[in-house]
Amino acid sequence: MPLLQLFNLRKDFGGLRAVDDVSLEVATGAIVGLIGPNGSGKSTLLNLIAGSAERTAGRIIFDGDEISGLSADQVFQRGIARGYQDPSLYLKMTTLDNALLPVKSQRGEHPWYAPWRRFWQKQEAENARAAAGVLEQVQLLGHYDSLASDLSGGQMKLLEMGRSLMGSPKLLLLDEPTAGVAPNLAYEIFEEISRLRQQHGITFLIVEHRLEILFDFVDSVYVMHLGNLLAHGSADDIASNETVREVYFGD
Amino acid sequence: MPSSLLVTSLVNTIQIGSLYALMALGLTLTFSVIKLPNFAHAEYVTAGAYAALIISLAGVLNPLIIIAVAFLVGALTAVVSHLIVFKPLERQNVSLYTLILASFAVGLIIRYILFTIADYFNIFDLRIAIPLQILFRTGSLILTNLFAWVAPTSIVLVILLTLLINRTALGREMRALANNTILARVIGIPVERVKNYTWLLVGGMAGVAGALWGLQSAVSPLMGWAAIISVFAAAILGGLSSFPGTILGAYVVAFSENTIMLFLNFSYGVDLAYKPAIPFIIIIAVLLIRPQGLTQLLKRAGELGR
Repeated sequence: MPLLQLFNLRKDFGGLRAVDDVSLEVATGAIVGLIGPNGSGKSTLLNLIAGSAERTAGRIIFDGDEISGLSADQVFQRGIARGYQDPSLYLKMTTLDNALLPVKSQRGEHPWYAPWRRFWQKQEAENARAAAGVLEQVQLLGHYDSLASDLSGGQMKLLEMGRSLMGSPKLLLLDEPTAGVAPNLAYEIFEEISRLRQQHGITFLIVEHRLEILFDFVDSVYVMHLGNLLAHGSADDIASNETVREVYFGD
Repeated sequence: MPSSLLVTSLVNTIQIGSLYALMALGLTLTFSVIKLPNFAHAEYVTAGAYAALIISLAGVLNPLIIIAVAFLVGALTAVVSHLIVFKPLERQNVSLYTLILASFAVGLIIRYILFTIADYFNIFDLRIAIPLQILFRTGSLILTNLFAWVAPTSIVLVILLTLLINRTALGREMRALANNTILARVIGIPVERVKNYTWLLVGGMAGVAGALWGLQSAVSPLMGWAAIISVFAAAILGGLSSFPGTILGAYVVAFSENTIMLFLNFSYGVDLAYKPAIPFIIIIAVLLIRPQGLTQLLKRAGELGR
């Protein structure tokens, strides 16, 4: 059974239909690409899945349950994390703090436990160890006490990905993970994605404009155009699809 | 100005400043985490003071129990006003102006409920009468056990709250909400729960401030309202976003109202009746000259904390 299924998902902004009856499937453990020209509705689709935008119509099924209508934090608790084109971090907080924020059910969250250190100290230490492991994986352990605003653009992307991992997600939605990243680092980011799929069994739905890199890593690709799904197939199918070439590359 | 008077006014500055800090931190927390400049904050103070007064009249004279009851009543008032008024309004995405007006309305309602209660039991302008002891006396300066309760309790609570914000998971999540609520949702922070806890803490601290206030001066239904402008002045000095800035602001306001006022009175004959004007002058001066408050002067002051 697929991990994520969308049925006739629709989003209107006033008179504009940004997402028009999109139905798609993402298989468990797959890396799926979502491409299309600017303004074709890809980011809006990710927002709808993540619960940060409200759908006009349609259904979203995740891991066998309907999640349409849940708020963004509830969707996150179900196991869907969202990355952004511009890394969205808490810039005035440290790298470690950023990584610790999404951890589920922390005892120190409760006002009646928080003043008594011994109630949460052990759990906090475990969380910090887990965060250190994740930061090491994304090569940021040396920066754990730096403010996020002091990191480079590529490091911010990696921290964002590391933060998503702290919620132990089943599905990661990534919006142009290589935007604004140097070409050699861009390839490394996709290798990291591939490694996360293998080690943790995480499923990926990735919006990406650097097709030459994306096509090396994906199992299948959906193409969007003006809010509609235009095509679906393997990377090779899509690369040789005449209609896709026409809307995407304009030739 | 005679030095004995100076010392007395400095003692007052510490006492009043600590109380202002306790109240202003709550205001800063509500403003940054909940995004609401809450004028009903004054009434959580009064509610705590009346709760403390009523149980003290019922014969409970242990200051710790009085403070605990004031915390609970203040917290309850704040959480109920959140659940009944502010949360439903937020859900309808109303503007900031609507929320401010609503906070005035909530304040009025609580204030007149307290008036009704005070009228029914005929308890106006009474002090919470824990037995008075003189701890220290030299010349004109007399320190009683009231001073020993008011200033240290406020200071300890202010330190605890600062530690909570900077060191615990709850504080980390509150700082995140203060920075960016939408992002907090997206990365799975239980936003509604953190907001409820924030209201609970804010109301509780205000309630304790009310009880401590009632230890040193008379409890009346207007006492919170009378203090709220000074408290806002302190929070505005802190840029409404920084803990150290707010604490510093609280002592600056208290110093201006006590020591500086007394100095002006002695040296230039300025009437003491001008005292209530001081917080207004501070607010207007800060908004005109340094709208960001004292925050930028403090090194590495992020949103809340640090």
